[in-house]
Amino acid sequence: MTPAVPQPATAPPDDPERAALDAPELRGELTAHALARLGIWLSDQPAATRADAAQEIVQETLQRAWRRRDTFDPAAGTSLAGWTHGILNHVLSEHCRALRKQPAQPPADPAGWEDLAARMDPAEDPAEVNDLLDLLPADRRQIVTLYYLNELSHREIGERLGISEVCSRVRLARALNELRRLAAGKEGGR
Amino acid sequence: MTPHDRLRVGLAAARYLDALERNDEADLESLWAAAAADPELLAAFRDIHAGLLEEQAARDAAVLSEAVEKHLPSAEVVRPPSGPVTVADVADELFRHTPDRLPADAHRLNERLRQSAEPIPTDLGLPKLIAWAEAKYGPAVREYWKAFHQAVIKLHTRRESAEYQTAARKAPKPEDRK
Repeated sequence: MTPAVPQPATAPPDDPERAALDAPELRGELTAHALARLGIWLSDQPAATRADAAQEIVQETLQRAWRRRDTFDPAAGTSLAGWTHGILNHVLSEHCRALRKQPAQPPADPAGWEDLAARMDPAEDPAEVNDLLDLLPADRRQIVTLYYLNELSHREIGERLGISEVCSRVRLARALNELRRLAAGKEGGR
Repeated sequence: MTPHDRLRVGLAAARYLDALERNDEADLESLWAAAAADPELLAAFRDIHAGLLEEQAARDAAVLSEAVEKHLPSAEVVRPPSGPVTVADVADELFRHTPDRLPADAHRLNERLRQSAEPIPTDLGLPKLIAWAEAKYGPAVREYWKAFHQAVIKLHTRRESAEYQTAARKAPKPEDRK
């Protein structure tokens, strides 16, 4: 267990950062972040085990954020939520390393992402973008078309496909990831 | 959002999901550094978390349902509604909540109906339901069809209630209320 850091029971009225760190909304979104990553990392573990780990990790994150509050710089355009997620990301990495050894993973592909961004740029010839999308299977092509060419919101896509708004976001992300891999394969095969 | 912004956020969310799935600490760190000062990225990453949790919840529920159905075959697993009420849905309901004093023939018929994915026509009263069902599946005692009819009403009500709750949960986000 993480040792508790002595703190006043409630946020003083003149301390907005403390109040923001205490907000249940922030704790909720940090917990969702931790559960999402642990769900991938510990997919073979029961949900209750992941939930316990997530609670501990979020608690530790909030304590670290409190201790490091001097480094938070809103003047640089940083949001408190985004800054706290960054700390949570570190804590999650430490926990993941401690829980189990990482199996070999495919390497990052920054050039592939940049290439995909350039090829899908709105200034590009739509016919070429369509050719690129033809690489995808029909269901994945559909969601990219709805979002990118038809400019629907995720809410509208969700209504059209009978899925939730957040599920639409994840499906689009998977489709774009596959498109990057397929486009790189096609380039390599030329 | 401009088309450029849509592309930028869409690709960043895709890259974030990819980094999460590969547990790429360096990529995750650089993406979170960018999201700290970019509300649109932060919102996209939150949605990715929520979407992943939805998928995980569905997987966890499937594992649990499978275990319950394997080890407790008479237990009821209530699933979210999807599509019309079918003959099999109703026969399953009667299997779990079997009326008293049904003859063996009715039990055998019910077992057979558990395999039928035929949707049940809506708004049928008991006489029309019996006529429709006996034309398709053969005769049974009136007590069986009466229980069948009550189960149809129960499942329709349950499904409509669940659909209402699902619709109520889809309240618009503040950014959609423009």
